[in-house]
Amino acid sequence: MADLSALQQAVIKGDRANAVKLTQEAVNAKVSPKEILDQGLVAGMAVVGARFKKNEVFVPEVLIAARAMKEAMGVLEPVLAKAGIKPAHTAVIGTVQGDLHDIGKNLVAMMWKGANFGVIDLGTNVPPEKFVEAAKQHQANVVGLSALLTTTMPAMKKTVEAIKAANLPGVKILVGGAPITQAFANEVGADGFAPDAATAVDVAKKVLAA
Amino acid sequence: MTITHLPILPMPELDRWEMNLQRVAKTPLRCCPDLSRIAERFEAWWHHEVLDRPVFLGKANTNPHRPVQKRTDLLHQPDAWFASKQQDLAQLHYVGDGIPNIRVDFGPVLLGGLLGGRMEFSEHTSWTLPYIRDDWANAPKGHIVDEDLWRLTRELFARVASDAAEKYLIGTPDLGGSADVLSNLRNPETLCMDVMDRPQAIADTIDAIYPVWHETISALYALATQAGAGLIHWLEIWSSKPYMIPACDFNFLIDAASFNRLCLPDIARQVATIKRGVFHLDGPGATRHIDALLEVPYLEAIQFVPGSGTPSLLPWIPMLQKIQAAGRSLYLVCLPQEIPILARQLRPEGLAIQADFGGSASELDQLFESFCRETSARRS
Repeated sequence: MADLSALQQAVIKGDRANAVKLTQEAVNAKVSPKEILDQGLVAGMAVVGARFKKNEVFVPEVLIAARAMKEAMGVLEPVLAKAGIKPAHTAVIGTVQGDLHDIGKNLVAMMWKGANFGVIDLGTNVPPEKFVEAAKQHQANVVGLSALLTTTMPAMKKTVEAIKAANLPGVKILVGGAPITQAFANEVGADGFAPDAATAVDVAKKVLAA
Repeated sequence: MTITHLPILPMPELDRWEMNLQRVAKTPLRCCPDLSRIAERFEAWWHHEVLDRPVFLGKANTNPHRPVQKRTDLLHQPDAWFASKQQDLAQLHYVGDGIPNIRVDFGPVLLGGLLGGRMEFSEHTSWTLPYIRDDWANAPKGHIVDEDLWRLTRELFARVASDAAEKYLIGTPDLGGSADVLSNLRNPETLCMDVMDRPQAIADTIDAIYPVWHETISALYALATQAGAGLIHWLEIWSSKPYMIPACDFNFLIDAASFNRLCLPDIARQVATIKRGVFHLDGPGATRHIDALLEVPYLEAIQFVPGSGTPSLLPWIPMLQKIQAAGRSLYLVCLPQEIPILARQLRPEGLAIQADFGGSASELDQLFESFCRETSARRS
């Protein structure tokens, strides 16, 4: 008998061996892959995200939870693909040109994956044209731009301008990173601002629903 | 909370270095005739007291056509590097308790470089490439690996020290904190997972970084003493006794229990080794560790920066007051418009303010004059 609440707990605890085992058991028991994803893995990551937002857990706990989910997804992805189930949204993310910091960007990518977004991670030091190209190629709904240095904030502005100039229908731009503020996001014309990785899922869903 | 006390390597030369610093403090420098008064002001600050006014530091570039830069691109050309630093010195205008100095500056990556990490530099930042494997077999073993870099560091330092005596001070490279060094050599994200998976490997490696830190800081003090020069660290705080600036930027990623178990014992050990320290507390995420830090013996002061996204110190006044109430001094990098507010809200005893200032020399002079008026009016 598949136990999705135990799977959820395995993700919360970052227990990757159990997360993989319980996912396999659920697949073997013919539980719908969407149910395994939503009620097991995504639900577990949602708890971790909420605890992270309240400072009840910190980055290591989030990372091991995301790792458990990623390994479990290795079991589930072929089943999802066979059933024709695709991620709810597609997001492109990267750290803007001139900036090599990636931990904040990686956390947002993990949170988005945990909320069943398909995520294309472009890495760090990404030039504006690469964001545009990837958004086009993957038909992204969201583009996330990260910056840690105040000196790379102008590169974020340039990237927003380039994406807007490419006139990609339905693409929402989210910005975030230590020096970024709502005022800056408004000034550069971003659609949303996530003050931290924990709120990035809510902000993305909100701008996509708008 | 009980801090785990790790074994300390002795620093037998501490008294000799202190004698040199006290001698330097009594002699006017060519670039800083008021050094003795500045040194007295800083010593009062170290003792959580105040002399005539709180400590105030500021500097402005008098040549708008030539920015003052680290010039890490010139570090392997000592003559060109030194000439560039001398030009910097000539065009910087110091006010208050700022003391002219030339710093051997690699960014906070030197220790990682000495431990074998490849150092990379860009215009605004520096980092070391991670190399510690998942089995940790190639983790630092307690000795310097890159002897060429160590030779270069000492050469640059000795070069400045030999010229600095009686003219200006020599600034040391930022040695960073052991956990931060490790975070770079392993990769911060991977190290976060190691906090959960392999905490003992982290503790062991931090333990292995300590003797390298000890050797490095000892050699820098010894070289300065040998040349009869005065020495300050990257915050440009004078001390008539040897001191250090412990840091742990990695702490914003982890919870209090992990910080107390893995990072704090080494911080406490470093400070206890040299017997005087000012902690670099960086960003809102780091503030959750303040209570633990306030219990570290010999940690006389906290330098707090509120983070690049939140440059205002005003929301942090209650925490700053708490630090003062706990008998520790404060070193704050302040926006000019916030200086009067902070000077009113915080006790002058044990208060040092560095102006975060990008204006002209005359504007900086005005800012300092206004600070002096404000603080003397308050004291009278």
